[in-house]
Order: sequence, then structure tokens, then C-alpha cells
Amino acid sequence: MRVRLRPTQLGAKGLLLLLALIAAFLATNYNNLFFLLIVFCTTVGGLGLCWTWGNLRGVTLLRLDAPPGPAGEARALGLELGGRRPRAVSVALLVDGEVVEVGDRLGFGSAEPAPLLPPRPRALAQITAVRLTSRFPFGLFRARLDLPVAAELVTHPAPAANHHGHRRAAHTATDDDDGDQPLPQGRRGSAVAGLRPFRSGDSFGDMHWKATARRGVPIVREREPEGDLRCDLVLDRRCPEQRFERALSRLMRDLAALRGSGRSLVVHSQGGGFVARDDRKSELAAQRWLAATTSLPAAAAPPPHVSGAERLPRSGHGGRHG
Amino acid sequence: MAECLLPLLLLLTGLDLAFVHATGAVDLRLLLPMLVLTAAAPWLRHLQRHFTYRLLWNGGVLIAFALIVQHATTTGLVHMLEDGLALAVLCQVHLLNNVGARQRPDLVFFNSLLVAFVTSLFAPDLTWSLLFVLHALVLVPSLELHAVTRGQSCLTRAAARAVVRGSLPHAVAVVLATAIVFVVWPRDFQRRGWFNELLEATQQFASGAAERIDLEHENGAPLSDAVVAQLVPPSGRAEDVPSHWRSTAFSTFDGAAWLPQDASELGSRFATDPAWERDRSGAWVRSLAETGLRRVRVRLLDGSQRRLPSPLQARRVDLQQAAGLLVDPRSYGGLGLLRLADAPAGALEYTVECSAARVVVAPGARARQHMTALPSSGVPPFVHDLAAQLRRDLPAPDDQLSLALAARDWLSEHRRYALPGTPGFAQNLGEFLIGTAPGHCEYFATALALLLRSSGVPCRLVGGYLAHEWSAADRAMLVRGRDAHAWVEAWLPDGEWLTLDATPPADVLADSRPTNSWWGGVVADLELMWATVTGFDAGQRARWLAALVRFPQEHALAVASLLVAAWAVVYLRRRRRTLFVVQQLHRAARNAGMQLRDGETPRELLGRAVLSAATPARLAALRAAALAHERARYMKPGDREP
Repeated sequence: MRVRLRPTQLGAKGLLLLLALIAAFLATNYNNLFFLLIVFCTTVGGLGLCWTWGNLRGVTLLRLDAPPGPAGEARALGLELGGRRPRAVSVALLVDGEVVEVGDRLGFGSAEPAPLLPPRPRALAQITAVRLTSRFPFGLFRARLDLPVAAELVTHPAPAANHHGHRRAAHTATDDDDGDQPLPQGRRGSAVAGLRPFRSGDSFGDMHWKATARRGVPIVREREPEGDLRCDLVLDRRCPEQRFERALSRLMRDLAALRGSGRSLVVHSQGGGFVARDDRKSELAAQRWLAATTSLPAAAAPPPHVSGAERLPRSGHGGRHG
Repeated sequence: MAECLLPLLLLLTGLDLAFVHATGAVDLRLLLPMLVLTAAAPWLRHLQRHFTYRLLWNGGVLIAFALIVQHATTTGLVHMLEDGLALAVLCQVHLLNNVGARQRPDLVFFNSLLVAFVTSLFAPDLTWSLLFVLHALVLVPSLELHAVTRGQSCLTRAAARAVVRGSLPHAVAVVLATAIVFVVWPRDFQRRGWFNELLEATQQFASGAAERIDLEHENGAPLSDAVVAQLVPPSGRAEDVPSHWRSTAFSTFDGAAWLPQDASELGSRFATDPAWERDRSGAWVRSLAETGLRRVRVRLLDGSQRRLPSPLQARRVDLQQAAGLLVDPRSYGGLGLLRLADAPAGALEYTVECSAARVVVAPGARARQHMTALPSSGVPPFVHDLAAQLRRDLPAPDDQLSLALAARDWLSEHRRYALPGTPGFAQNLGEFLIGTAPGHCEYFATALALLLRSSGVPCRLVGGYLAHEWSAADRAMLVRGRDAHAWVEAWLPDGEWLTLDATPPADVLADSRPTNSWWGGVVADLELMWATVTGFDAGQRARWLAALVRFPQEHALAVASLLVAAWAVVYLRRRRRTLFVVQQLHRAARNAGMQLRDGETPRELLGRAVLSAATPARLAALRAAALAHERARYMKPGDREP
């Protein structure tokens, strides 16, 4: 990992000033104080170059946690650097070749806020490197160090407003009810199986306020599931972009509702689908599928027919593309 | 720009004002408003968002700018420096008051350096150097804070303090590295610079290389630290080196300038001084009694010299390498030098033998008349009054020797010394004679010559060098460019030439300044130390390097101790770092409710912790501590992270 150096705007101007001073020095009589000034400027430049390089030299990447997150929302990243502790660095991620600034680290013993990934559109992207940039100490040179990393950045659709009414979605339904109607699902049982931490999609009605107050984190009641434990959905990808995104948001909402319910959600679509159960692994796979999927043209093949399964989007099956 | 940078920029601007004040060129009344505007910058900056205020401010700056430019163009070259420096600090104050959203601090840094550079040419060396150290100690933290806050406009006060604290070692390192490079880097005092050489060539072509002392066009003599000559007495004693080394004598004063002695006006080429003749060995000799002979070997380092400086009592001058050189005996008793195309480049060596005998030449009437001539204009009337006053105070008014000594002593005691270009320097001879302004050696010598000539004492003005800087290491007297000097030679009735130097010696000789107080002593010591630095030349550098090479041989024990100490520091630092990660591991384990067992590795401890009821946060802390421990204990430099 090589530290790359280049002069900043201030450094370039400083270099011009130094050259002008040297030219004036050579043009006139030898003068000690003049020489002292040139030595000082050169020393500041030379030591600045060494120290800027040394600030990033030997820095390694110990950990990068980029959790899946909803589109249009910032999310905190887990970043741990090893080796030398750099000062005053800007941290950025190289996501599919694009540089995404995620924050600064001062490194003077103060509390460092977690790097924050700015809101991104729904996509499945590759993080190829963590880029550290620093002008420390004098701002005359900029050092850049790319720490290679292979990680996926899953930006899934933001879940639509859930059936209890509070809003979580970035999109709102307009001319149809794709984003508002809940999927038919098994009733929640009245028997409480236990308590667990709150997860996205849990109903506020299940909040256990006493436990929440006691533990300091939101706690909900875990209920025994009742009724049908499997739900089949057919996603027709031949639809306009906006409706497609709304359908994905709704799927995301239903996916969140699966947590702790003991049920499963099977989505059938062109080119495959996913099966989501009440476990983290299948949830991540579903989020990944939802992040990566795209709409298809109207002339594309229809989705597989599954009897008794609800179709999404409900009011259209292609033809209104665009 | 972050607000936390402003105090440092204020300090930087304050130091710029101090730089300018140190030159003494700008009136304090002009600097005080600038200082007030600098101090008020934190409040005035907030007003910049109002259009009316910006209009008023920028209008005011423009008016001040126009006034300074108008002053510079109407008052001539005399105030050019003052106006230029005033303009520089005005710019700095303007930049400081505008720095923020519109103006980045880059220009404040650069302008500050430029002010330091310009003032270095005029301010006293020691004052400027002390200010420069302070300037460096402020500039480096400013740059560092600016670099850190570039992306963060809202740096907390504690964080800003931490940054400034962290920058101080950098500032000290920069100052030390600058000092080391400055001292160790060899000097090149002989370099004149291509611009100066170009200028000199043009002037020589225009004036035919004429030499004259022009009192009305004093633009500041080039006070170079360059060693012009080394005077080495074989005895190794400083007392054996004469102090006044003559280059040219001037016998005609036209009211404004002294012109070189011209034999055609004297009727005979050697009417005033013993004539030089060449002996069989090729040396130049003149008829002075061989009493109290002293020899001095002269190493003339300035290749552009057209004279062979020698004392008044020089009896024999012997050039070491005469090939390519033509020696021209001058009518005033000096020796001129012509360099042919095959002349050796660089230093020139010759030996001067001085006699203790008086230099006596019977004055002819024509020469005597020439040496007492005064111009019809250009002599201040005060000269005649003062000469009459001095004569009246003498017991024997006709005693020319007493009169000459009295006039010299009076000038030395009652008139002040200053270099051209310094504040208050006399604009003309009249100002100096009346006593309203100080003057330099040429004014002292001219005043003395006019006093003597108005009393009928024949005399001439001599230009040359004053040798006073003894180098114990070289066992030689060093003559630098700044030692150029002027004095008077009076021709007494018995035909003896007498050297008279009216310039107060305490002002000319740097090492003879009075040190009445402890502070004066400290300043004198500092100046002496600084003179060592500024005079650091190739010879001294070679001696330092040789001493550095000899040091390990002569002080083997000390060097070994130093090496052991350095190794111990490195070892202890590494050990402390290792201990630190072990302590961190123990602390993290305790926080997670665990205890490291005997023989248990951090990984095994981590495995136990995962199965325990430790919270995720504490588990993560323990994992990080275990990893840090592994890296510190088992990873070698260059190993890849697991």
C-alpha cells in the first residue's frame, strides 16, 4: 500500500514563493538573513512532506462493517484502523469506482464520531477500498492511501409504512395501494413467548415499556405465531420504475415484519426470487436480492404462476412501462 | 476558516508589525492605528457582513493606499522604504480583517513571510532573528491548525487546543532543523549575484570605473559580511596588525564629493608621498627607515579589488604570484592593481612590511595649496566658526598638530554615528555638522578635513578598511565588506603624514561596545554569538567538521555512553508499548467480567468470553484488545495483518 503525495493549492503557491525567493537570493549579494529565510521555508516544506507521508505510512485496515441499510437514509459504518494512528484524516469509500466521503478523524485524543455513509440509492455495490486522505501537518501536501477491501454495500429499498400506521418509507402511495395494503399474514397469537430487543418492523403495540425502561433499550413481547406460517407472493418486474420501487418497499416492510414471527415469505419473480424466514441469514439474502433487482421491459417474460399467491404490483402486470 | 485560527493569525500580524517597527523606518504613529485594527479584528470581522461597513472599510483602505503611494512618489527615494513597509503591513491588516468566508488565510501566511523577508534587509540582525524565531513558533502552529480545520469548520475549543499543543514539537523541530542547516551549510560570501554583477558592469562602462566619495547620494553602503581580506601576522599577535589599511586617497573636495588624488594637479607624480620602486626580487619598496619592522601576510579574497590595501607606513609589498598582474604605484603612496586576461582567479596573497618610522615628505607649495583648498560652495559656514572656536581654545593656536588632534577629539565626542539608511541619518553635511543628525565615517572624515583645511592644515581623505576583528582560530585579522572606512591624513608642517580618525571607535568596532549593565552584557554576548553565525565561513566549517570527526576518537567513552543511552530509550519505549497493550488486555478482560488464567492465550480468553454473558460492547472491546496484543507481541514490521 503506497502513500501517494501531491502538493495542495497552498503548497503549490508556497513552492512558487520559495522559487521566487531563491531567484532573488541568487540575483543579489549573499545575505545571511535572506539565506535563513530560505532555509526556514525549505525546512517547513521538506519536513511537511516527510510528516505528511509519515502520517499515513503503516496505517492498516482492521475492520470495515458496512451493514445493509435502507435507501435514502444515512447509516453508521464500523471502521477500525490499525498500525500507526493517523491524525486529521478524511475517510472515504471507493464504491464501484465512486468516492464517497464518510467523515473525518481528528486523532488528537478526542472522541471520534463513527463514519457516516451518506444516503444512497437502492443498489448492490462493491466497496473496493477505504481511502484515507490527509493534509496534516502543514497543509502543504496531500497524502492519499487506499486500503483495499472487498465488501458488499447492500442498500435495500426503504420499507413502506407498516400496517400500524407509522411511516418508515421513502415513497408514498399515490394512485394505487401497492404500498399501503398489508399482505395477508397469519394472525399474531395472544400468547407471549418471551421478550426480545426491538427490531425494525415490530409493532409498537408489542412494546414492553417496563422492560424497556429497565434495560435502557427498546424491548418487545415475542408472541407465539398463529395461523398460516407461509406466504407466497409473485413480483412482476414488468412495470414502471416508480411502481416497481413501491412494490419493493412493500416487500421490504413485509420482510421486516417476519422477524420474530416464525413465518416465512416466498417471493416468486422473473429469474428467481427468494425465501425469507425468521432468521438473519435469509433476511440478509432477501435484502441483497431486493437491493440488486431491477425492473424489466414490458416485453419480458411473465413471472411464474403460483396458485393462490398474491401478485405485486397489484393493479398492473406490465404495459404501463415508463 | 475556523474561528480558532484567528488568535494565531492575530499574533502573526502583530509580529509583522514588530518586524517593521524593528527596522525603525516606519513612524510609530503610523503603526499604532494598524496595531489597533489588528487587535480589533475579532470584532470588526463580524461587521463584514454589512454592505455599508464593507464599503467604508474598502474605501478607507483604498484611500490609505493612495496616500502612501502619493507620499512615496512625492518625497523621493528617502521615504520609499518607509512607505513600502507601511503598505505591506496595511495589506496584512486588511487581509486579517477580511479573512473568513471570502478570504482564505493563505495570503496572510505568504504576506507575513514577505514582510519578514523585506525587513531582514534593514532590521538589526539580532532583533530580527529573535523576532523570526517567534514568528516561526507561531507560523507553524497556524499552518497546522489551518490544515486540520480545513474540512471542519466547527472544531471545538478543546480540540483546537490539542492541535496547537500537538503542533509545538513540530514547530520546535522546524526551528532546530533550520538552525542546524543554517549553521552547517557553507557560506558563499564572495557571491555577488548575477543582478549585481550585471548592474556593476553597466556602471563601470558608464563611469569608467571612477572612484569617488559622494556625500549627497548615500543610498546605504553595502554592509556585506563577506571577508574581503585576511591579515596574518607571522607573530600571531593582533597588536602587530595595523588598524588602518589604505586603498585610495582623495584630495579634491568639490563641495559634494571627494575626488581621488590627481598627480597632474600636484606638479609631480610623487609630490606627497615616498615613491614606490621595484627591487631585484620583484617586490615594491619605498624609502622608509627600517625601524620596528612588522610583517603582515595579506590574503585578498575579493577578486574585484583594484587596489592593494596597505598601511600608511608600508615599506615593502611583495606579491606571491605576480603573473597576470600589473602593479601601479599611485601618487598617494598606495598601489593599484590591474588584472590581465591570464591573471589567477580567486584569492591574491602578498606580504606587507611596515615600518615604525614616520612617513615624512617635505611639502611643496603647490601640493600644500592643493591640500588646503576649499570649494567656493558646499562648505557649511559652521565649519569656519567651529574651526575658529577650536583654535581659540588651544594654548598655541598655530600648533597644527594640536589643532588636528583637538578637531578629531571634538568630532569624536560631540557628533553621533549612524549608518546610511538608518532612521534619522543626516541628509547632508550641514545637518551632521550642526549636530541635528548622526552621520557615518565619511561625514566624520569630511568634517575633520574641512575643519583642518579651513585652519590652513593640509590634509586629505583616505578610503580603505579598518581591521579590528581578530579571529583567534585563524590567528588572523578578518576584514569584511562592512569594515570599509574613511579617515583623514593630515600633513604636518614638518612633512609628516598623520593618520586621524574622528569616527567614534566604540560605534565602529562591534566588540568594543560598552556593557555597563547585565542586560548590555547579555546583548553583547548574543551579538557576538550571532556574529559568529553570520561570519561562519568555509574555514570555520572545515574546522567544525574536523572536530566532529575527531570527537569519537577523543571521547570514545562519551560516544559509547550516548549510544547505550539511545539504545536504552528505544528499548524502554518498545517495552512500554508492549506493557501498554498487556494492561489494555487485562482491563478489557476485567470489564467483561473475565480473568486471564495462567497459560491462557488471549484467543482462549476471548473464546471463553464469547460463551459468557458479556455484553456485545465489552466483548468487542476485549476482541480489539486481544488483537492489539497479538499485533504488538507477535507481529514483525512488514508482516501482513491476520
